[in-house]
Amino acid sequence: MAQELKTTERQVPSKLDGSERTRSRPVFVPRTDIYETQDNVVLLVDMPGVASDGVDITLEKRTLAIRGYAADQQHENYGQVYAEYGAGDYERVFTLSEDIDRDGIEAAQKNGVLRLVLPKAAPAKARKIQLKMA
Amino acid sequence: MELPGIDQEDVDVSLTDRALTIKGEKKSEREESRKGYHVSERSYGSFYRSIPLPSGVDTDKANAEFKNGVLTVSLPKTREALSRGKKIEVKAN
Repeated sequence: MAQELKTTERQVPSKLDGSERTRSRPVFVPRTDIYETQDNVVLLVDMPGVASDGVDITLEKRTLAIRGYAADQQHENYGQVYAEYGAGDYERVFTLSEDIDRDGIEAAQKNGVLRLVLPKAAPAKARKIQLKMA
Repeated sequence: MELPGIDQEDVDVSLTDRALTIKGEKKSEREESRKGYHVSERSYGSFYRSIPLPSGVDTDKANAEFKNGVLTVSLPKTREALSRGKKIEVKAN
């Protein structure tokens, strides 16, 4: 049984923006699928415990940073008997290729999975350059 | 229990006097044609887990909640389990 269990994510020290973290919670790298369709590149990011208002996506130049802050799973008047996964935050950074239509990016969080749709940019139109006669 | 990407209807929680069983299936989303994968780390398929329970669980008052991909099952203890054991008087001969 134990080998069938697959943790949702692995834990790494934060190196997202080089600054120290001020929260004393574990940070996980969420498991992700990235696939391509005719028009889009789609990211599916597993972030269980994160509500839609706990997702923070930033795009700076070509760097796409995804952060998820999970709500606390502490229950009142309960003592923990057994734990198999830890509650924590999620961080992952991707570098995008240049041909993404940055204005058309869509994101939705449902059942603990973030779905990011990155539309491919239309191929740059060929431009004819007029020569001016001197 | 962390179950990201599963719909509430696809989770089945059942309870007997001895065990709590959670099973379900995570279906692949196939509404679009995929040209190719760049990263594939998430998994699909069915899962099954059965957790043996201690005695003194009030199965009638069990309660399950699924929120943001995390399933929470609450199993209240029975009144007998909450009260301290019965005291037995020791008689001298």
